[in-house]
Amino acid sequence: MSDLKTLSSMPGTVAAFQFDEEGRLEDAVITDDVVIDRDTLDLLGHLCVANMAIGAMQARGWEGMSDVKGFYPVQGFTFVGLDWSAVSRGRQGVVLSNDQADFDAAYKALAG
Amino acid sequence: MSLVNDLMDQPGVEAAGDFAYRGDQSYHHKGDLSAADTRLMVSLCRSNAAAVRMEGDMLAMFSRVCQPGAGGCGFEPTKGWVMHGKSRSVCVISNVYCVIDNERGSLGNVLGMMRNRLADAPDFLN
Amino acid sequence: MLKQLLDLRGVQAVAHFREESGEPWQVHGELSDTDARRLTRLALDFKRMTQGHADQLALFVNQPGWTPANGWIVHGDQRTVCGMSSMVAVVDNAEANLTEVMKALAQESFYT
Repeated sequence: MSDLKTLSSMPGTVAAFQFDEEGRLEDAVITDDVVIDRDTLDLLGHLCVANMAIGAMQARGWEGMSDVKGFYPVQGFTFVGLDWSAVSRGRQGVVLSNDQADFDAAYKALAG
Repeated sequence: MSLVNDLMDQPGVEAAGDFAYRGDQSYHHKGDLSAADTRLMVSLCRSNAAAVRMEGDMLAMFSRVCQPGAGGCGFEPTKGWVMHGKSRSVCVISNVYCVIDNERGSLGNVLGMMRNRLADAPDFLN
Repeated sequence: MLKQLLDLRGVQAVAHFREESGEPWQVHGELSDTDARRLTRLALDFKRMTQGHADQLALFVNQPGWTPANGWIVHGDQRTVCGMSSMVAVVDNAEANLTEVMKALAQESFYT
């Protein structure tokens, strides 16, 4: 697990958060509470878990049919909004401003 | 579609294409996916586009920071999603997808190019 | 008549929505305007998502009978939401018979 404080210090990051297997918010560091709050992070945790489950179903089905492998197991999911994105990996995620986001760095940092 | 061609020129991009929001149709496609794989990819991209749009709607409806007069909702409308697989990932913005190799590709470059070029895409699901 | 679905045991609200926007055409039962709009918007979104997943399942398992997806049910703790075509109902788990509700929604959508 990565340290939430370290994750939240990446450029463009407004929050780093941790959720349980169902998506419920466990812990968070919020650097800009005007644009994000704990309830929204709780929704985003559920969103990440739901999409990783959907992605796992799709990757599983895909790899059963196709020679193109490498999707399963699904390790993360990124939700790209108009101005903000939520990048998740495992049970942690960060919320980033799209204009300042470094998606590669965020995803790598989430590996712990 | 020039965006599809431009994406294919990015390092690590293995396939790219677009999809219609209704029906399993694709108008442009480049890369090594078979016809059957392309059909599957288009189907799952369309389905996930519907799912993440719903989630954007939910954030807009249920999140306090998304209510009028609050901080403003930067998640909605939803522009896209990335499914990070073990060694490959699928990136979608609006109705364009690409498959990238995690080691060789840069999510930032690919998403940046897609977000820029599709900033004004209408994103109607109908 | 959509309103008659309220006569079924446990049905608390029913709505018929526009396919293109999710805006409600008709709403019956105890729902505020805001909640009715939320419900129908989410019902349209859920319908689209379910249809997409059913299409994929059909491709993955190569088996007829799954598509087109007709409806969906989300089972909550005390309440359940049932969708069929462009109809949606909220029911009380303790009282409602889901088969009865789904059949009634199917019948209603057939004649609408």
